[in-house]
Amino acid sequence: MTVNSRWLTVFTAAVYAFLHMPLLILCGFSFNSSRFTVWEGFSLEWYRQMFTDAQLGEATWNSLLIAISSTILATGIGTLCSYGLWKRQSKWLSGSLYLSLVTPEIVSGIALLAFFQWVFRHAHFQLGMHTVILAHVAFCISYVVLVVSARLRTAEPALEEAALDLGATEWEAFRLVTLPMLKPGILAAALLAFTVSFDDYVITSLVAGVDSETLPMVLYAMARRGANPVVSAISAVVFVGFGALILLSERLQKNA
Amino acid sequence: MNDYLCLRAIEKSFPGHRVVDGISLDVPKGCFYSLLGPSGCGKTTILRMIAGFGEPDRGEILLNGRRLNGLKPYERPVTTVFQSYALFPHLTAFENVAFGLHRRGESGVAPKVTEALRMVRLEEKANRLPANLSGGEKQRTALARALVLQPDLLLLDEPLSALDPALRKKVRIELKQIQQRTGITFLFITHDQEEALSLSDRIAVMNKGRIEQIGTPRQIYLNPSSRFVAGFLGAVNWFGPIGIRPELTRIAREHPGNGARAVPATVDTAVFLGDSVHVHARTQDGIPMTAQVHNAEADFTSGEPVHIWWHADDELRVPA
Amino acid sequence: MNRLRAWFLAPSVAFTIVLFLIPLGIILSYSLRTRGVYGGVVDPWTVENFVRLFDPLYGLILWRSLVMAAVSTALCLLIGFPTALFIVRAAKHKNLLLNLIMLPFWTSFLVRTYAWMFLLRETGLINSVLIAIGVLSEPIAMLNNETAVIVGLVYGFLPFAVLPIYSNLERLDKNLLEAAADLGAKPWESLLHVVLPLSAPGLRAAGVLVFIPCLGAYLTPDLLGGGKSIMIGNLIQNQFTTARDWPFGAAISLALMAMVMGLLLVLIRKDGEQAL
Repeated sequence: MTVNSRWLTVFTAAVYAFLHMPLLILCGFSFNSSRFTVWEGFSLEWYRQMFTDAQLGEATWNSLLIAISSTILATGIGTLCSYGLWKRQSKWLSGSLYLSLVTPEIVSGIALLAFFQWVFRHAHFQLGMHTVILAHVAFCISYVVLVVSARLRTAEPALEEAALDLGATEWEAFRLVTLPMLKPGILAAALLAFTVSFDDYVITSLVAGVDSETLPMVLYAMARRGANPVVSAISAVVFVGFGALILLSERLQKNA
Repeated sequence: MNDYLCLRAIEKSFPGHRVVDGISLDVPKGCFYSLLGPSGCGKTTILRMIAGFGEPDRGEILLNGRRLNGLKPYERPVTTVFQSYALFPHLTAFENVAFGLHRRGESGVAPKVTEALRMVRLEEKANRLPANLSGGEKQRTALARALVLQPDLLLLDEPLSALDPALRKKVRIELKQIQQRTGITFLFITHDQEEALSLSDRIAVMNKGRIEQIGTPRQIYLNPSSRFVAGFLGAVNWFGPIGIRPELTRIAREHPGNGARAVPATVDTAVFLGDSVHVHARTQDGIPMTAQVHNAEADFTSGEPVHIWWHADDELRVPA
Repeated sequence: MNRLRAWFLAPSVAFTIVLFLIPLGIILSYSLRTRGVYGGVVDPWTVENFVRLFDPLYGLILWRSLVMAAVSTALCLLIGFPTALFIVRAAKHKNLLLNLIMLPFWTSFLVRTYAWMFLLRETGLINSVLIAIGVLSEPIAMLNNETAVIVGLVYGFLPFAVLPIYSNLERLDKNLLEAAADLGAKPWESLLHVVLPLSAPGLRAAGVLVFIPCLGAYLTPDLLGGGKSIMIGNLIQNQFTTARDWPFGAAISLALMAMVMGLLLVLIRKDGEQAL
């Protein structure tokens, strides 16, 4: 197509600035020695406070635990689901998974809350880490299916047929031919599931118990309370962490 | 009677239409047998059913006396060379060829694979991934992969159609040599009549799910049983119910004399094709006819009155 | 083969039914019942909750949500289309540019929303800078209003707009533009009469993909809107926590779901399922 005109270039540069500046500024000010929005010198004070905060530490640990468990489960279940759907469609399952993706989080959250409360009337459970993990697995499966199915769509069905033709059973064809080719996509899906789970606030806050506070929940409470440079520090760390994961995921998706 | 592969009254329908409409054929052991027909005639469907991807609605598939119906692909002593080659992209050529042997748990894999690759002249490139192989090399790898298992029957699904024309002729010859050397029964499907004619011991011509004619290449070219077969195997000049191939159609300024069939005609154009000239003419009744002549003889000009003639023995007499 | 496939699908089916469809079913049943004295859900069964949706008080919130979502969507499309156009044309750096668009989106949503709080609050950066350079003498309230929410929504969902428009533009036959030029069209004419009409499906998909999360937004209006600009999402959350009126909250949720699904059906009908 045609070369970009000068105006379009300027406009687009402004758009990119709009998208990136707020976060970069926030990260920048996390190194500010003053708690005010006037630059007064470089300091790691807020990072020190962040690392020594016990509540933060526990919340981060919970978030990691939840994210890792949810990721492993959702990736496994979601990959198998994508494969099953690739072999033969199921409109209701695909439709439900897609619906779960577009359902506003607040609605999924309250629905799960209502469900758990209803279950707890009949069984001896309470809200806690397990309910959070279950909820996370539930919504992460859709993301995994989205990514893995996209990869399967580009796969050649003739390859599995060739495997069968040469003497492999259906399970062997999946394990020896399709699965190796899906690996980059599965890893990308796992990274996606991890970031979605780690960052979740809305659903988690509704179904978490008293002892299962997550990092987003603490972050939210701190943000609500007012200007707090420690939040900037936490934000910077989270941003860089997620950014690295996403870049890794992109690299994996590209390599195949 | 060496009928090795037998198809008995095979029928297959997909929603809407019947793709295979009562096919029976017999393939002798060690034969290079082709299914020739236009796209959509059902030949690929038949191939897939023999391989085990889809069951016929009716009819039986017998191989060496054994009924194949209902058996899974991995239970059948049949291997396939797919049109897209279907090489496993994450395995090297060597590993691709070794795949089937590993499934069977056979020992002595390495020498067998090397021998198979040597037969298709790819032993140098054994450690390459498919992405680093040319089209022709991929095709040979797919062939080696199917051959190394020494199947009772080897199916080939238009294996040459993805290659460029120059390569195709070369690979054709090699394919024939390999088949003769190994003695494995080949079932080859194609829509290219030149391929079928040059490679096959026997050909079954198909159209719209049915078999039109079975015979040797000579038989079906020289004695086609229907207008369809005649026209599919090569060009034909139809003069009413009589057909005469352009290479047997002569053209002359003077009447050829008694003993030959002749019609007066007017030249439309003469098309120079390098090794021959196609002279297109029109009879007085407006029927178009083409004569293929050596370029040394051809200096006919547009509008010139000529006689189109041929020997009665060369006529194709087919039912309507 | 079917047995293998059934095993592969079983866990997802279980999760989908138990942790998505059944909870939605419970919400449906709650929406038709009545609020208990201490919260909770009791009989009698009634459609009272849905009737209440038409109360002007709630109607205002619904209306405001629709308007804010619509404005945010329009802005995302207006900003997103030229951006996507730029990326498509910058053939060499396409992937890098796309990644840069998506990168902020995939990092923490909470953090990104907080970044705007940091910028917009009275002691925030923008006010500080404007005061420092003398444009303002005292801080103005940029946070806790509808504009802040719209800024937050556009910031949050702009990538959602760029991607579908980009995919659509990418797939356009480049020859069409050459044909247009060949027939005498100037660049802006080509853009108006060839590119824009052909990008309509991409724009529609982008519009729906942005509008839906904007309509159901919770965090953005919560953190950036203060109490004055609550949207449907906040209203729902409110019913399930402080107001303890689960049946009404359920009814609102279903109304929201109905709007979302309705919009998706319209898009599917117009552009087919591959539009998503």
